[in-house]
Amino acid sequence: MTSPRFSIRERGTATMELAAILPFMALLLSAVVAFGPFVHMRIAAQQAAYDCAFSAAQSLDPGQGFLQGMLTGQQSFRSFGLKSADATVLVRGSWGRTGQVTCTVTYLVPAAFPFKKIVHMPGSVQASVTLPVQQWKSEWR
Amino acid sequence: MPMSKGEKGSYAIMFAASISIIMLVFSLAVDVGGAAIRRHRAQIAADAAAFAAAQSVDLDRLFTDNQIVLNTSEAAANAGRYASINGGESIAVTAVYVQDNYVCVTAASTYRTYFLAGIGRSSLPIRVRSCAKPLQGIEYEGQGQSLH
Repeated sequence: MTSPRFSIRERGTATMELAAILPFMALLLSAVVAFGPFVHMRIAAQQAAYDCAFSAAQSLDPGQGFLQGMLTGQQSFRSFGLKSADATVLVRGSWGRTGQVTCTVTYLVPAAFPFKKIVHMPGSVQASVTLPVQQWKSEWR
Repeated sequence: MPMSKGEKGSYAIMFAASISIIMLVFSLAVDVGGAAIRRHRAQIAADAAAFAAAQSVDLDRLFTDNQIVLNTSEAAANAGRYASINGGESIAVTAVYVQDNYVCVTAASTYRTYFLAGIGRSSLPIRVRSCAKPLQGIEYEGQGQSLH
């Protein structure tokens, strides 16, 4: 049923305006919707890197520190509701009294991430944290 | 009945208004989200700085009467170093002090906005604080090893 208020020409103009503006609006809305989870992933990566480094720094033994860091980094990811299988946790450093450890966490943005292709999301997010080895206590040994 | 001259422009105004609102939401999402990431990074840098500063304590005092006495210059240097490593150049440690047997660090940074600059907010201030407790415990005799 047609509205008696508008002529066919006027209705056509409105449709054209809508058609012109709709892709732009959809793109903006996609970016807004995708940005929240992206922020979540970045913060999760930063936190996982810190948790990993903090745990790794609690031991003076390289093997123990490495294992602690790795496990804690992955656990931290899971606590953010993200799949730890998509995350790579790299622990390296020098476990001496004056040493320091670095954890680098790389999280691959899932292929099914909403609007990933439309808004050109980066393929992965990465965070790195460096801490001095805890000198006065090796709590987990 | 055809539209009057005033009604003809109403669609354009409606679209302009809706686009403005969507742009505003988008701008807020980008800048608030970016500031949240930046703040979290600054907090982690402050945590690392406090952790590093807590290594610069007088061990004798800690062992004997459980008092934390800071080697102030060394603690400040350590805090600044690890804040910079983990937070980038834009973070500055503003204070290192002892409070309730914790070593505390305050730091400041700024987040440069992308869109809010359009309404006069070209940057957002970020202030963070973190405290760490120097722990004493099991001694481990060894020179330490590297694992790369």
